[in-house]
Amino acid sequence: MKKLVLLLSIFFAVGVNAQHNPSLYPMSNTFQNLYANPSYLPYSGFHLGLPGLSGASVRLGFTGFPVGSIIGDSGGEVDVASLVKKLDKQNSILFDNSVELISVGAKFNSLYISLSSRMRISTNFNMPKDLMLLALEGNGEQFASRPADLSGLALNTTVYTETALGVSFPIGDNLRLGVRGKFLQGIANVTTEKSEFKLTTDGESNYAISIQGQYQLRTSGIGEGIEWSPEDALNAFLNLEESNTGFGLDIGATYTFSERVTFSAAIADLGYIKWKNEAYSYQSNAFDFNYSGEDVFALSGEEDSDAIATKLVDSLISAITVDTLKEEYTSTLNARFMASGELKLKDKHYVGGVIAGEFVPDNFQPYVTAYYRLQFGKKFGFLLSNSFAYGSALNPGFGLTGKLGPVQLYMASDNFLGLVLPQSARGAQFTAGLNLVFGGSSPARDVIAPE
Amino acid sequence: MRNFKFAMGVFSLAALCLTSCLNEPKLKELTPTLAVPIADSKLSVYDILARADSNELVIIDTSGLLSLKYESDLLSVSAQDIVQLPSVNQNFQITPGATNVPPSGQQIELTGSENVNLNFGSIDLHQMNLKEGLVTFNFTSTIPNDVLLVFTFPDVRKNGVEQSVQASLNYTGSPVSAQVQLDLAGADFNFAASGSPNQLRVNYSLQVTSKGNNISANDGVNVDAAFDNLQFSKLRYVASDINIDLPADSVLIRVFRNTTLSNLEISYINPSVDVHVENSVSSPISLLFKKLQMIEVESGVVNDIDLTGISNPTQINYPPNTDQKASTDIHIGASESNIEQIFTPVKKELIHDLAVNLSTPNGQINEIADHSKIDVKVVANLPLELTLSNWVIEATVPLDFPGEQTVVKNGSIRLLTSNMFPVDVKTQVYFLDANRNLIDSLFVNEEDSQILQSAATDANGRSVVATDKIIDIPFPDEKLTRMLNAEFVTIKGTVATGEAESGKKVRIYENNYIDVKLGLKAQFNDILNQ
Repeated sequence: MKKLVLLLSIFFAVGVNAQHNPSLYPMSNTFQNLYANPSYLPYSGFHLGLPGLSGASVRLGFTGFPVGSIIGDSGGEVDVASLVKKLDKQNSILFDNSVELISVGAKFNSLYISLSSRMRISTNFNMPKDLMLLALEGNGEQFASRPADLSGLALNTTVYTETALGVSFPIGDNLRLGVRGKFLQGIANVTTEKSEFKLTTDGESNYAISIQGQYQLRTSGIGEGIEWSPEDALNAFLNLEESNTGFGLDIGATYTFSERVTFSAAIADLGYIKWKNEAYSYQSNAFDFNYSGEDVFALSGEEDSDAIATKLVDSLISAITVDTLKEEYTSTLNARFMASGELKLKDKHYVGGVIAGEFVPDNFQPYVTAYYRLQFGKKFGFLLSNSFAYGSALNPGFGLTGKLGPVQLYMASDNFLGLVLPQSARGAQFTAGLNLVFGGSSPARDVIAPE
Repeated sequence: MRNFKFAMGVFSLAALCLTSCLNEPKLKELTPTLAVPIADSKLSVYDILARADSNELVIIDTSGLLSLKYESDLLSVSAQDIVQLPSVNQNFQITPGATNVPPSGQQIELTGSENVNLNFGSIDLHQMNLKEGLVTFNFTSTIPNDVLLVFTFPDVRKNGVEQSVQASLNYTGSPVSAQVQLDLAGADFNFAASGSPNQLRVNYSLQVTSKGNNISANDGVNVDAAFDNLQFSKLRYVASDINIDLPADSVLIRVFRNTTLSNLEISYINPSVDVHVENSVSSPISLLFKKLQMIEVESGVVNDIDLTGISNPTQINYPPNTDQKASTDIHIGASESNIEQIFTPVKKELIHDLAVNLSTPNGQINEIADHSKIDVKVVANLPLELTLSNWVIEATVPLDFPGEQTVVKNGSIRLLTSNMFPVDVKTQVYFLDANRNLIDSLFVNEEDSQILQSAATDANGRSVVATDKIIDIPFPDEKLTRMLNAEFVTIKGTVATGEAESGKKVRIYENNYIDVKLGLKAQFNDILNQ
């Protein structure tokens, strides 16, 4: 047992959290469940999340590329072109990271008050399928008979801190509500407001190429012309008058239907940030560039192919004009929702399901999780799950919690294949942490008294 | 505890199985295809002719038909070339007749007039306006008394003022001489008032102061009048035969100059020589063709252009006065001469030798001013109306592809043409090895080698509908390899006018054009495993 604790402690050297981990939420008794559902009632009377022990967590996901389903079907060969053809029209690379700076929670009779501060990074890079097809196949086959729709190519990233004050309280015997109000301070942001691009190759003529498009990008905290200075970002962050501020809200509810059945639901990260510091808008014109070849009779005869290519690129660049404005703007957080139900099979054994989703720009990331949970009183819990996420039905997850004295350790992943075999997964989250917990009673969702 | 160990065991086994089942992936080949436009050009008649020779003048008539015009240098005959006023010396006598004079010291006046004929050569002047000139009078008197001689010229005026001269001839016992000059700049001579051309009226007055010597019948004044440096501003005259030769010259015909013509079959339709005359001499003038020839420069063969179909000399139009101009165009075409037979592509030069003649019939009075001139331009006119076949243009150039290429797997070229010229063009490209042996050709099918098909033409040979053509030229792997290994390439083009076999003539109009678009499609070799 001691060796097991020592082994697990290697993974718990730092405390990390992620936005939403479907394998963590069903795990009972962790303060961090409040981030998913503020109505949750930790069993401990007092919780402390230590600063300085927090690290960076990563959620990396890609909604395309079912690599694992291809390997083995073609004798060990990866058919990249075939992979790309199976993509959705729009595909996202997701990257999230959060670092908990400090967290405190305390129970007052039936009330639970929480205070937390986190630094969060949320990034979504959207890639249209046609862009990847164009890069891999060229424009000489299918794109000679239809335009390549490159609209939606977008980068959206937000770096901010979140300071939240939460309270959960009972209503009646079976219902519990919770709310967390959050003060947000933006550090940096890139928002793609508009991304419309179309490349047409005229297969009926001499493959004349036309490119139409328009884009608008907004940035804050990274200077004009995308010149980022950490010092400027920090100064802006510390100076509230010039800083980027906003507010957010999490609300949730838990309903104990019966001794064996519990339901819960929550909406989180409803919020916005108003960007003021070094806020710029880059708006292009609605450009329409057409190239049907050189007028060879106008050439002097001394131009080489490099000169012609340079001239072509210069023509394309000159067709695009960008208006740069210093302009405040508002961005919204990626709102999330979750709903779950759990059934107690018998003592210590539970099964349940979670339906969750996240609204990322121009996309929606769903999660559907089914799990089996084994709970040994307050001290130890274990969970196995499988989720439909990242466009894949195979995302086996796990979770572990353990308590030794006041130290609570937890670890969870929604797709452990992504940890051990990243080439086989589309995405994964990993969450682990160390909390100090004191006092408290039975796990709120375990109606039957624990062993 | 037992349940915990069981759970951990299941977890570890699952991880182990999955690890062993999955291998390091290998990438399947990826061969993208890229399609790019290469060229998009429109060629008009001006573009073609400008590239052929920018000195050719392209003229468009009202219908839009193009003609090539090759012009001579401007030949000019000035007024001073036509009429040159000579210096004139004229002598005449004034004899008042026998006269008894009053006593010494008293005066008497003797008057009279003379008509003096001035010899200006072959020109009979009725009016002469001078901008420069001088007349010098030398008087010699034999009257034995003092004489004040006054000459008045009623027909010579400056700004309307009658001109006169006077001389004092004081008797000293022997003939007395005196000289006076009259500046003729700005003087207007009206010879017609005297009733005869070139005739100048002189009214004289002799104021005799008596010395007591009676004037005999033989006594008088001898006058020598010398007219020099006469520069006219305007003349009204009657002239007989004034012949002036223009400089002999030639016009270079540049079309097909650098073409091998041995197999070329071409006939020009309606070539001509046009002579354009601009005349500001108000006088009947005729233009004489002393020589008009076409010469084959390489061989020296000369053919005279038969001019029996035109009047030679030909009368030139003239204006009613020297303040106006008149133009004359003389057309020497197929109807007037044998030019259509002798004006062929091998003839490269037009020789001309001309002269002008001024001769006024029936005493007609003509006018010429100092700014008057006759300008003549000779133009060889080649309307782009022709039948042409078997015009072969061929060139062999070295190829220099940089080493073996492994990037492109295969490709194709797409050529789109829209041809509004009434011309067929066939092209073939031959790829040769270092010993100039044929290893491949661009076109496999004869039909594809006709890259330009003549536009549809009407009965007059004018293009009415452009002909569009799309040719895809594939380069499969083996062909591409052979092409890239070639050391030389021969490009051969054969040009013919539409329906040339039937002898149909076609016309090139201003609105003729060729639209050429070129595109390239290339499939690349595996980009992932290179």
